[in-house]
Amino acid sequence: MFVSYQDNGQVVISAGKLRAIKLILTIGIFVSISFAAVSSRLFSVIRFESIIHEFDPWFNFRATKYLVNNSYYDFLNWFDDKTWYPLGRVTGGTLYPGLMVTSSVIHGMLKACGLPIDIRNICVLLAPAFSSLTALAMFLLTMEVTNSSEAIVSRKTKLSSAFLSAIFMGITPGYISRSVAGSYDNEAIAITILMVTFYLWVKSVKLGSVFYSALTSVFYFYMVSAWGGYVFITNLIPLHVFVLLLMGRFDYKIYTSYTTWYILGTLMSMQIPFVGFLPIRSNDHMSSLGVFGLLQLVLLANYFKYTLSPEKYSRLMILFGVLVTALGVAALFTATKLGLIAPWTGRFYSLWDTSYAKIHIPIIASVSEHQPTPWSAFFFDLNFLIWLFPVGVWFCFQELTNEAIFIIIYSVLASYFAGVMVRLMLTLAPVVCVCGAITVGKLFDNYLTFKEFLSEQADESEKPSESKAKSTKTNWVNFISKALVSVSFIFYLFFYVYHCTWVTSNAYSSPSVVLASRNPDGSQLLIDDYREAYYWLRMNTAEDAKVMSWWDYGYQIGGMADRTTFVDNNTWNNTHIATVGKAMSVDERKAEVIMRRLGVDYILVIFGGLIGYSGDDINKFLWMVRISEGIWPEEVNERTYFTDRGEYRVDDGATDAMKNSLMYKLSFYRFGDVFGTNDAMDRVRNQRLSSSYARSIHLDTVEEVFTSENWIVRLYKLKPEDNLGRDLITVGENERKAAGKKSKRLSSKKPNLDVRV
Amino acid sequence: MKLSLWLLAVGITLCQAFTPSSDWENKKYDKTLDLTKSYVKEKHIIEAVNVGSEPQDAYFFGIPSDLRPKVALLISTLQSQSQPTILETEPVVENSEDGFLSYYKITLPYPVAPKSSFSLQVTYAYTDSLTPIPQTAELGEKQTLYYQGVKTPASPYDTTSYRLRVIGLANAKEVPLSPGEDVSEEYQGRVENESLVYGPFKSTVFKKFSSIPLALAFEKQAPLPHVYNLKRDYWVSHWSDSLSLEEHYQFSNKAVKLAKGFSRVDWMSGRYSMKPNPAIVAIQIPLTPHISTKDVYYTDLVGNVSTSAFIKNDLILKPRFPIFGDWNYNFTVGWNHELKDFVREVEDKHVLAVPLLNGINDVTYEKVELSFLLPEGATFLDVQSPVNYDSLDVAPEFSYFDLASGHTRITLTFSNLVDEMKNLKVVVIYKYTVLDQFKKVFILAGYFFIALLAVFGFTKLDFSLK
Amino acid sequence: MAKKDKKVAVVAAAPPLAPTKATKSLLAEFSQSISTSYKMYQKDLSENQKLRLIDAFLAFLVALGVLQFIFCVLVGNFPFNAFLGGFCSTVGQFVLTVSLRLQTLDVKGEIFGSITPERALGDYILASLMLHFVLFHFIN
Repeated sequence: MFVSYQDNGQVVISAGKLRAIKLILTIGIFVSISFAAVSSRLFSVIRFESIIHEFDPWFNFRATKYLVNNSYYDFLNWFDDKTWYPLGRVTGGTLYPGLMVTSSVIHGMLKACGLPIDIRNICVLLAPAFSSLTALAMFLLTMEVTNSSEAIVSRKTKLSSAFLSAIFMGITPGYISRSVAGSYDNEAIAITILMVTFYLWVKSVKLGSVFYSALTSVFYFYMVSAWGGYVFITNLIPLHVFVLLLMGRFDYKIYTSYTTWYILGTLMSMQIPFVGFLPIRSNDHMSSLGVFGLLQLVLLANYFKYTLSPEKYSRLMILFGVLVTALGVAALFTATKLGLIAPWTGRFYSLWDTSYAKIHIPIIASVSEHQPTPWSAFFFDLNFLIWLFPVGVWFCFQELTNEAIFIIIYSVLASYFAGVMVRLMLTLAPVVCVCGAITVGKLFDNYLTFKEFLSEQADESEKPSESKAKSTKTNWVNFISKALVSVSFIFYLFFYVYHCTWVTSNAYSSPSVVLASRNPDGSQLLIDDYREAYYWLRMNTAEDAKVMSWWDYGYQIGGMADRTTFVDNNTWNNTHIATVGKAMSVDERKAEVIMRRLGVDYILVIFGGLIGYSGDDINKFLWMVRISEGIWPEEVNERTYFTDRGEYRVDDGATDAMKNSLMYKLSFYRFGDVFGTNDAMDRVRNQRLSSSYARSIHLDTVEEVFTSENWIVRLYKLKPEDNLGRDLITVGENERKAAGKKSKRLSSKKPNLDVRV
Repeated sequence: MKLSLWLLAVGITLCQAFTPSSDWENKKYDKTLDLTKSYVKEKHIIEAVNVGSEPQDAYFFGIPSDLRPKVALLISTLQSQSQPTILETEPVVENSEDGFLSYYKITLPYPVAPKSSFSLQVTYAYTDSLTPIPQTAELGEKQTLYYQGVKTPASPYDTTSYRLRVIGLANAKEVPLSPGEDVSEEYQGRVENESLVYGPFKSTVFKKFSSIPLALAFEKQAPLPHVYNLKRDYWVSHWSDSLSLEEHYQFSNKAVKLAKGFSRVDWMSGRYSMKPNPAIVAIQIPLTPHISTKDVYYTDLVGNVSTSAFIKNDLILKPRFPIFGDWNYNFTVGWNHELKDFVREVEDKHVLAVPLLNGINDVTYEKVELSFLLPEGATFLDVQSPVNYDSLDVAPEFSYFDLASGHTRITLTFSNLVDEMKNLKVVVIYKYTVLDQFKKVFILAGYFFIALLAVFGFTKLDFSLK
Repeated sequence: MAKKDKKVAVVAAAPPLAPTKATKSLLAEFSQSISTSYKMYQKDLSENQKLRLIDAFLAFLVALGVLQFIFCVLVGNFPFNAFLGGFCSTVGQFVLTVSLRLQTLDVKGEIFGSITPERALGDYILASLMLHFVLFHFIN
């Protein structure tokens, strides 16, 4: 038996048994946290299928397949001529290989273990698998933060805080949004690595251990290889050290851990071809270099401090300080001037000035995830943690250990960035979970303990009756207030789980490649137009066919249709994107010239007007206009696409620029015929095109080759040049004229055509 | 090198030398040309008499040489008895002198004495002989197919009485062989009950090797489905008692092509998905009745296709898009059967018999790779196929938890098959004892144990520095 | 990186710019304080053999780094990764050795607590191996 009872009613358990029970409990809790984290991410697989989601993951998936089928060196030297036609892309040197390498290593390991799992399934399930590791890393980080300080959380409850943070992290929608099954993106593994790196950093600062900081740098390297967000670490850690220095907290441990991390981490990060020499050139990395230098000086100063009198020391320091600052600033200036350091990038500016992107770089602003975060998103993604977060930070202020300072700095920085860009919510989520868990842990520490009450109840029988009444009363008041708080927080916890599940299932589990809809009888109907059209392209066009589409669909075309694209989601060449945008925004005659020059074979447009799919190209059209206007302001003008009253119209009242633009024509070509003699109805913009107008939309230089079942994807082919050297548009006009005459003559025949519909 | 070239040259000269001796005379020759399907079937009922001086035990059946590579199936049966017996038939490798005819040697069950006769039926099917004219058409236009064959018996023997019936066509008419020429006036046919009949010609003697070409154009509002390559994998699992089938199709349509791009609005307003037309809107796989078929999946290279359904005993797959002429559609379909429905145990051996094809209605197959994946540890003994295969390949394949020798993959490659061959059974014989079955579990357990031991040992190691 | 430059700069550049009296006295004070420190350092050095060894190595690394830097300035940094690799190896080794020095000096475990000198040496070797592996890969 586990327990033995003693005469006085006490229960005795041996230490070994207790440890075993604790171990089993710990493992059990972890298993269930992992289960919760993984299973809540599987909604999309169960509801749809094991499929890669969204846009970027399709590229990652394609790159992974390339890596699995070729050697690692081939992968690094991969020049992809199927994208950015005719430029091509040095893919191996312009991606973060961490994700692909991770999944191919997992693939290889499982294969060696006799489990040859399809690489697609590994890619789909990678994010959920890593999310359970993230929960573990969160647990360790919270343990480390709360470990040495009684003030933040008492020793007793630090374990429960850590567990709470793990489960919070496991299911918080802010993180799930980027890590559902199928969302095979860099962030899927990056958040895990981020947390592990922070945990190791905190640990190495605490111990001053070279070993741990070497480990930190290894994970930092992994992070660098996995996600561009590594810059967050590159700046957060130096900032932490810097703040510690300012607080006069310098000790040898900080020196040891920081310098080791910096030198190893920086050297390793330079191994990634995409990063290259950035760490010594780019401004993003200068703070870490500066702090590294500063630490050397501080160490030297520290030595003087030992040997000199305080007065002398302080004077020496002042001179020293002035000299160093002057030298540093001068060096920074000259380096920037000489071009040794990369100029400040647009993305960097947009971090500080949210409206910068909107004005100067439409291409960055056109990405929805680069938009500033709306307030509701915080509650939506973090639920009750968002208001527990400041409380947790306040607890960290109670005892300013090095770890607590780290959490404070992290929370300040992450809050700011999360406010700037929607997608940086991802970096905020972990610290919110830590702080929230500390708060809840502390609350439960104080309010969920009924030991006193119970033991007093037990003691009461032995007490004299007069004091009994009084103590019972206070006891009960105490008990009720405790119970009230506990119950309400337990309710919040329940609500949190409920909210997370609801959000995950409703907002974040759609693959966006397949759309779910309902039949009139309530059964599920999948709208699979994207794959229908992509598959058609893959099966029925020449293997070297070049497909022009807006950049959003570049990766998907590459991944699913396996055809060459002009622009894709790796938006590195603004001019090329603007060229495609221009081809879409100008009239057919000008567009033809551009398309012939580019070598376009097919044109793909997304049109949601028939079934009311709002993410279509007409709604994105203004971005194409804006981006091309940025390069050719005299040829494309955003204003001309709006009516005089500033409306964005697509019906009869649309402006000429709109009506003549290639994109508009491609979207609405023969749209009127669907409705027969009735007016054509655009269900996205809720505008009505009169039947005669809708039927008059014509195309001369391109030919419709495929339209998907619900008209979401429309494919056109650029006609070959006329054999007789005539202008295709003139040919078309002549034909229309001839047909017009004919139909006048045979006007009785025309209604027949309409009846057919 | 030189020697082999020389041998080759000799071989060719020898080949060209073959002509069957004219010991037979076709007393009655009844030929039926069936054009209902996407390939062509011919049925020849021949009554032959031995006009030679010696008993004969072989009859040479001739087909036009250009058809030879297209022949999917040729069966000859003896008609004289109440129950037809299948005769041994093998192609003659040598070509005839003029190259017009190719021969199949039909071995008779007994030598036929001079002046005696016997009756024989030869059925054969050949693919790739129907082409749409013109090659392109507008959506909704009628499709016309063109067939070119031989009007006469095309036999190495003289024929005294002959009749040709062409069935399964609508609005058929004879057309000139090449544009501008006239349709030959000889032997005119007539329409009879939706078929075209020539003859019977009782008085005319068709001399041996005589040939009059026949060119037909007829309307057909149906697709000509074609499979370029089919990979058919049968996974045998004794542990789960299941036989899983996975088929990878490279599907296409040889019917008339679209003259212009596909217009969805015309397709919708014409309601063509409901009408017979040359596009494939659904692929129908007949399933064997009374045999359980579970866990059906239907995917293609970009993922799951959600449009499949069971209607009675058929599995209906709706492709992502209608497959017009010359359009391709690759897909994968698979399901599980119960193993006991297919495997018999004979002494210590297992005999697995599976159909050669699923037989999607009206489909011709260019290449079929039929594979059997025997469980790890099984010993492959023999394979028997009713149809000649091009190659047999035995190789290991590693699948889940194959830590020893892996599954044994036996691959048979066939070419040029038609859907009617679905009833033919391919038999694989292999050995798989209970010991083999458990060996895998023990190996697996062993590895697992070693892994656990390694983990345990690792935790016991002390890395700390004193 | 910055450290050696600064050290050199302070020592070498301070004397020439000292015309006024105030700065003169300041300078005097400096040289005095630096010499005090230096003397103490000498004393430490003479007492501890291990320290002497480490510091000699440190001085060697500094010299090597400076030499490389000068070479780079004079000849040019054509194979940039080679220069960077060489320079970083001296800097990296320098900071690692300083860390080792700090950790070994702390015999009583006042600062580094759990890290014994043996452990420190082990960590040092591990980190150095990592550093040179990466550098080897970097220069290839």
